[in-house]
Amino acid sequence: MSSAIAVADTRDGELCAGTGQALAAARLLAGADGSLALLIVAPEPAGLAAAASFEGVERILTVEAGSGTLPSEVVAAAASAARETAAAAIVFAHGPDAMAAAPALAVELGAALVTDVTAIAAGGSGSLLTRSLYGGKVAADLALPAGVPAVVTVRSGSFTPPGEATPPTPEPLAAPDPDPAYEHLGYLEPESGNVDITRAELLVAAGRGIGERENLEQIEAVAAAFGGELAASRPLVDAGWVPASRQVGQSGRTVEPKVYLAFGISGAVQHLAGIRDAGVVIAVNSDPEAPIFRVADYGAVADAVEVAEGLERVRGG
Amino acid sequence: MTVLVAIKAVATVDEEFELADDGLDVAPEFVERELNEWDSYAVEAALRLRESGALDEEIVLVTVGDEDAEEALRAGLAMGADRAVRVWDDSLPGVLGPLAAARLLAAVAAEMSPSLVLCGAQSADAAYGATGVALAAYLKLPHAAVVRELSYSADAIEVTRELEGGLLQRLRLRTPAVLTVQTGINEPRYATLRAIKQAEAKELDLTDPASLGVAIGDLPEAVLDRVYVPAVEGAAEMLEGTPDEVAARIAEVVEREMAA
Ligand SMILES: Cc1cc2nc3c(=O)[nH]c(=O)nc-3n(C[C@H](O)[C@H](O)[C@H](O)COP(=O)(O)OP(=O)(O)OC[C@H]3O[C@@H](n4cnc5c(N)ncnc54)[C@H](O)[C@@H]3O)c2cc1C
Repeated sequence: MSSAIAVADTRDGELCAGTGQALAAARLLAGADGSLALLIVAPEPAGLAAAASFEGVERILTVEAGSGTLPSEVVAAAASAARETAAAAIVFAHGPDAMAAAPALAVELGAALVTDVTAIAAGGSGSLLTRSLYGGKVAADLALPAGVPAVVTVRSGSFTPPGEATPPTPEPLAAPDPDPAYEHLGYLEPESGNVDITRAELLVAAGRGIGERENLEQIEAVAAAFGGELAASRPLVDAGWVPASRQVGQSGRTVEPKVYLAFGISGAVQHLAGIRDAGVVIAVNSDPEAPIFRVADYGAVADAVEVAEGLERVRGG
Repeated sequence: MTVLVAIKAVATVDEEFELADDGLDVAPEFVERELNEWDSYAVEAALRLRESGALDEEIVLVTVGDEDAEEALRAGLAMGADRAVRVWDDSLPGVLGPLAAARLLAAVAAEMSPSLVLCGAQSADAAYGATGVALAAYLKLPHAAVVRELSYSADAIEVTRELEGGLLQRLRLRTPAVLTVQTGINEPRYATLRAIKQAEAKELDLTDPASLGVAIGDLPEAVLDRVYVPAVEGAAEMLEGTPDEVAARIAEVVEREMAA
């Protein structure tokens, strides 16, 4: 019988959505009759443990971390929990926290490492893990090596969390010794900016595919003509063309407009993370294989600027 | 001393492509290679640390890759790095797992005892987002992932890490350290024609896993079973026609949905 650990995805004293999804993936890796534990590494883990009402969790292990949880604390706690439970798999929700901890944990445990996994299937000789390559143009199935544990991170939204159940009594584990190589200096909240795109009903979003900076005016003109707000993918924010308050995605804003009209955006997973709750997604992209067409409701294989000019004419004329 | 920047020549796939006969990758004729976007920010960060006087050290690029990876190394040399090391031997698989890449890069780093190692936060093609932190773990060095600000002094480095939704975490790390760099940390420079010419003459050494004492087969890497084009669920309704016709259809949909 095999056992698996999911590492809770937490922020600011709350469990985040990734926790249930990591548990679901850990259940698949443990097998239906395998045992499943949830590991919570956070400043005050008891409150989180009480809120962790997920079906099928046999043990909740808690580790008290410092006020700014350090990746090194997560790695040390997960390594000792993995050894204690002889875990065959340790699962994280993919994201900046997991990117900082999971690879180091895999090296520490001598474990296999597969990140940003979108599906797990039981295969004949073990599980097959699916992940994307080339920005989502192709998928790859990987088999885990036998005889070693696996550290796995799972893509947001890919696994359905388990149902609710009363959580087991948490078992506090010893906090790891503080690592003098690291010091948490503080968190910085995002700047709010002068616009709140999370409230907009229509977002007209520009990506790198619009080409030159001057073409941004054409996208802004479409937003103005239809009474929407301008939004952008990250590269336009990185380049300083668009303020960070208009960035959509994992490291930007999560938006829920009625209509999301995307020009020249490829549909990278971190961008799509921000538009999961959008109503209707319309994508204009010159590449027929662009991954954004996989999630869009309407698509057009066309030049972004030409279509934007057409839209201004339709509306203005 | 050295600042080491680990880079990757990432594969970009053409709009139309086919899979290779062995079903384990896209067929090579549909693939272009270029310096990974995240890594160009890492190279720029190293150059800026030196230009600001914070570090006065040789900047060395290292990659694991076949001959086609040399152009990406040359691109980094043209930006201003001093020399480069490429690790390869033909027994390595074309699609290398994150542990194997990190283990080989760590072996190169161990020979140089760098004061700082920079990597991109992820590669655009395989996107494991893992190599830099695994490399740090093999070297047993402190690390920070997804860094978008850094300031360096000889005994400590202060970084700002990006978390989700615009939230940032500020950390101080003991040096030497390994950082994985996020886009937007700086604006990578374009190489001048002259710099591109000069880069041709810069030292580019080749080494292999055996010389580094690394047996890739011993690593617990997951095994690639197959690659395929994923099935599309609920495909988009495609709007056809001239740009003006497409625009008219989009306008219709927008007006209908906004009125709903
Ligand atoms: C930790 C982390 C967090 C991140 N957070 C975010 C985030 O919050 N938001 C975000 O957006 N990204 C984020 N990213 C970056 C993300 O991975 C992608 O790099 C980014 O989303 C790509 O933006 P893009 O689609 O505009 O550019 P690209 O991927 O370069 O796509 C450009 C598209 O334009 C198309 N195109 C080219 N020419 C034309 C034309 N003439 N007409 C029409 N289409 C054309 C191309 O076919 C292509 O599909 C993050 C990455 C990491 C590692």
